[in-house]
Amino acid sequence: MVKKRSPIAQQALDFYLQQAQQIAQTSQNPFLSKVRQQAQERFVEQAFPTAKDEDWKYSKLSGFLAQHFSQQGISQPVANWQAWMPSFPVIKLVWVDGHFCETLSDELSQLPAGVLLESFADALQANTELGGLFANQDTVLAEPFASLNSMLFQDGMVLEVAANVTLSLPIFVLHLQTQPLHHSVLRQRVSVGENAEVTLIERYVSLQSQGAGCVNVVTEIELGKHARVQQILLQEQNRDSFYFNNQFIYQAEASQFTTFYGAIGSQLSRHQNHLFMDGEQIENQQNSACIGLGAQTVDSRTCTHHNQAKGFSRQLHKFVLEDQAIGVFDGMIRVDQQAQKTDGQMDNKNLLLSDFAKMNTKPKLEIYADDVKCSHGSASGQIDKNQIFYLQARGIHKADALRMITQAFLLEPAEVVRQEPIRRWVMERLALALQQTHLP
Amino acid sequence: MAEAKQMIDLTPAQSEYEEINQILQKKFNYREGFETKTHVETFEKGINEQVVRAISAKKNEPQWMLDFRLKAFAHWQTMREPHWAKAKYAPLDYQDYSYYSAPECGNCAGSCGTDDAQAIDPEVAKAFAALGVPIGDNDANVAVDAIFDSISVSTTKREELAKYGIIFCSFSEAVQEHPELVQKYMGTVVPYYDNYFAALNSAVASDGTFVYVPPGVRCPMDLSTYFRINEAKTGQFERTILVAEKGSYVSYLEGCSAPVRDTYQLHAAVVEVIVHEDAEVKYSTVQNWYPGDENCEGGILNFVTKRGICEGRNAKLSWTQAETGSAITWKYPSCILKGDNSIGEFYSVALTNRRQQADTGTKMIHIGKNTRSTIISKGLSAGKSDNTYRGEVKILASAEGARNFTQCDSMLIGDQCGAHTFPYIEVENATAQIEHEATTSRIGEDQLFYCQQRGISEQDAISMIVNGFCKEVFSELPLEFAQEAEELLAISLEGSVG
Amino acid sequence: MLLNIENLQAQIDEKVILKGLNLQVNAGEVHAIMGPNGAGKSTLASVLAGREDYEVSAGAVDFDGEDLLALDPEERARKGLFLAFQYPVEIPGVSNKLFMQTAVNAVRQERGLPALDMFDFDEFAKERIALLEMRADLLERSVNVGFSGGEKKRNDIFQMALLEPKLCIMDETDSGLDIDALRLVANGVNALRSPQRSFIVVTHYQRLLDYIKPDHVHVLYDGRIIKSGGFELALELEKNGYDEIIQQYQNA
Repeated sequence: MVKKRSPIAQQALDFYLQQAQQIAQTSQNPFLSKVRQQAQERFVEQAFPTAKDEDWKYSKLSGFLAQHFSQQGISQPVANWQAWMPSFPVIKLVWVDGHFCETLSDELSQLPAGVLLESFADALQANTELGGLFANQDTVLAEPFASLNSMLFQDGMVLEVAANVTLSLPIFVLHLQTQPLHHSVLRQRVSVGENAEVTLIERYVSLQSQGAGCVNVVTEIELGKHARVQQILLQEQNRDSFYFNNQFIYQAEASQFTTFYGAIGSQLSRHQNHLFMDGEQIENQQNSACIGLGAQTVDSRTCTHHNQAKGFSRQLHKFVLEDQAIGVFDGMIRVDQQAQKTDGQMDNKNLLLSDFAKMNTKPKLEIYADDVKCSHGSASGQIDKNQIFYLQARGIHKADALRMITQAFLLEPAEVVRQEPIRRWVMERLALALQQTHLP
Repeated sequence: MAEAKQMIDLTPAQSEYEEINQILQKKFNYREGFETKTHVETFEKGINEQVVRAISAKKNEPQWMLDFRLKAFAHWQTMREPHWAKAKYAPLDYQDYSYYSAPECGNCAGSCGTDDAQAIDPEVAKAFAALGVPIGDNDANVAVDAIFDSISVSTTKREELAKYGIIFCSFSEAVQEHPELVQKYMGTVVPYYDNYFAALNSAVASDGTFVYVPPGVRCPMDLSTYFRINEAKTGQFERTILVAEKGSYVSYLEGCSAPVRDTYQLHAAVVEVIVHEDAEVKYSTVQNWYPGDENCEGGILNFVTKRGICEGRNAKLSWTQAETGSAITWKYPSCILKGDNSIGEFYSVALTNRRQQADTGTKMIHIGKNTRSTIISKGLSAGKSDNTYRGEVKILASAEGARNFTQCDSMLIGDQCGAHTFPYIEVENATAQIEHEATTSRIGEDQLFYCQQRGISEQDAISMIVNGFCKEVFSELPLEFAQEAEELLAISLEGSVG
Repeated sequence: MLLNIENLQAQIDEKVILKGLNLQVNAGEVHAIMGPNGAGKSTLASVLAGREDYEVSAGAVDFDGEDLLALDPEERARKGLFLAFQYPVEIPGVSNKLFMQTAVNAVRQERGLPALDMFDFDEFAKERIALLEMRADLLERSVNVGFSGGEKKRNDIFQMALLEPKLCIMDETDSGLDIDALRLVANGVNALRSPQRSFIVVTHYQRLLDYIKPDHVHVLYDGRIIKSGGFELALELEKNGYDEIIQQYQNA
């Protein structure tokens, strides 16, 4: 059945379909054309979700649909991009407006042994057999923005870490947006071999403090047996911009995955982990810390599939909301009948700093195995007055007390970051963002 | 230490539930499954405007009631059957149901149902006696409205209640005798367009109970309604309105059952509760509709809209339910907390066995300042059933200082069933405090062994552990009801204990 | 003879834990089973009580003239075998009163005694609470929920007092108890000693035996009893540890 669409939604849909047509015309590879065609068909069915779609009730797309984002080619980066680099040593990779920028990145040939990295565009060129890059399209296309991504993507990243390789330096991926109304449509594929270990940091920023850009990312991360992956994402685009990221994580037996998402920027940001635990004794931790100010809508969501026995999952998601900001948390723990001895726990805590901020939470459990320990908890409210008083009673000014407590509240999910310099860096970013609140 | 660890970890996963499953598979004892043979007047199957008019005419209804029905019917025709719940059912053929059925001598609801106990069909009276429902006047400290298919056949203790100014009568009678009250409240909490089944109910509402407690009156006894679906292929669409005026109190109970049938039967009730300032209503349900055969074929489809509003300051509405029957339960007794400082409570035990499906929970809509709500939900899944808690807590911007506490516990008995928790929490006020907790557990092997080591049989141990799990909810039920609920649970679960 | 264990062998999954154990207990005797971690002490307690995780592969156990291994766990309990758990189990929402009334009446039925009604049971239970100097609200509380480690163990002893068993097996009852709690538990057990009642006290350490004096002490190692003696054996173990005895056994 065709959905009823508003004229604005219809215009946006037509606009992106037209873009897809143009891209399709340039494509040489029949396999890729098929992928795009399939995505387009799905997207036409799905269309842009509305508030009537259960999963989009709270993250309204009207602001996004009112503007049309197009891929405006490769642009030259402005000089101040280095300000976005951290001070600790990393392997540096830079994308500008969605395209890999070789000149700003570390020399690819100098990468440690066992690490293969190429831009998605190069991978498409080099590979006549593209099946491996799109093995999970059936899963990916369940999300409308991932379908849109599959229709339109031009570049991105392919990262492979060979078995038994441990990368001591983190890979730092910087995504710069330089132009308003630009659409960066990125496809990332990370595969980490058996018993390999890697830390991946991704940072999304706009060089201009105003003007809406849009990033649409599909990230797939595959972990081999006993692989260990730590992922840290900071989303700090300007507050006019849009951010959609669908992450699909496939874990094999006894692998360990940790992800931390820090949401600071964007008018509307929506970050979702689809996590599949496809072997026994898998562990993972998914945390997020989200700040919403002004009219921001911050949406952080997870769907964790416990598909095999003895899986262990932990989650902590925290929101601090001020002004008229809207926070959305949606978490699902799904335990398959086979996934006995699952231990899953999901926590969501929210602090509302203003009378107009709104928080919408849906922590869900869907359980088909009996010998499991699953729980979720959610709490929303103001700063505990007793805590403030306790600090005051120890001689701390009320204003400082408020700030200290809010900061401590927000930073807790970032404690999951293992390396001290990275953790400190993440926490500094979050603390800095908190200074923009109206806290005294 | 090392050995103790082994004992826990190396439990053979496959055979664990063999015995429990054997117990569960025993023939199901649905005690209330008998059928009553009596002379009935039943409408031809099918629904259309003529049927709606005929129902209204049968009940001698005034024009405003007919208009309400027709408006609802017209709207219902524009709506689509909802299938969003985590309960699968094939679309129903609404033309294959009869929308009116009544024992012949009790059908003149307007005139003879009032005081003449003689008018009750003796077969119907026997049925209620067998169900243990006291429909004759008696010493029990409870007033009963007994509803058989589409009509109310008896309402007891009316004179005694009348002394307090309390109105306790069938809905049909209230339409005749208290039209101003019915008009004032009907559709105010659950409008006819609210949802598909509420619209259908508004169109073909059969009978139900009407309760009015005047200001300052504390109802001296429990009021109770017993619903019985007897005819095959008959829908029951009762409409209940309960009004508690300022400073009043009432405890209302409802129970229900149906004979064993082989095709699905539809039950789509609407309940509206209005609680004024300083008043308190306690609404308890023990739902034991026929769940169907081994595959839940023929069971009742229980699609019910229950909602109350705490209209004034300090009003309190408390829903307690024990849901053990029905093939499918779709039910969310809700509280609109409009008055400042008003309180909403929801205590629920839902047990599903075999292929039963329950999607139940509540909505707590906080509008007034310092409103409070508590949700305690205990879901038990056994057999091949699915049991879902679905609940919404909504704090509007006006609800300064609102509080909610939610606790959802699920217990899985066996490895073929599902237990799901879908809470929706929307907070629009910074001063609100919301806490939600959910856990999933099972009857531990170690718990069973502990009981057995003390000489308690496995069946008794299961029954004991399950009742312990539900205790917080049962303690909210009136005493006799709590006992009934415990027994029902034992019967539904084990087939022989009780 | 109350209990006669002959050549008992038991395993869990594929792992053999008891490898031919022999033990005789007469009415009124207190036996201590000691041994290092992993020797099979708790397995012995579990097998005697009938925990289904263990498979008995050989041997026989006669309990008061009956084949113990043929009985379900609840039948063993009803015939007078009581296990005090190393980790007493929590049962939320079920009061001690309901739990124990059900248990006591199950045992009474087995003995051909009439069931106790609520009042009689109350009286009987209060008497035992007084005897063991336990908290008066014990009956109203949920089984072991929110109890400290010591309280749980004492609750087990209280249950023992109510069920009046012939044989009490105490599975590392002393583990996790401080000295005061230990003393309270031991006092409870001593109050229940009688010429008709036997005890098997399974423990790693000798300190419990200072309070519950055993008539016989056995050293369990590698699934067998490798040495038996009187109380002096416990003292010797306390002084020299298990190594020496194990060494002797291995050399032999």
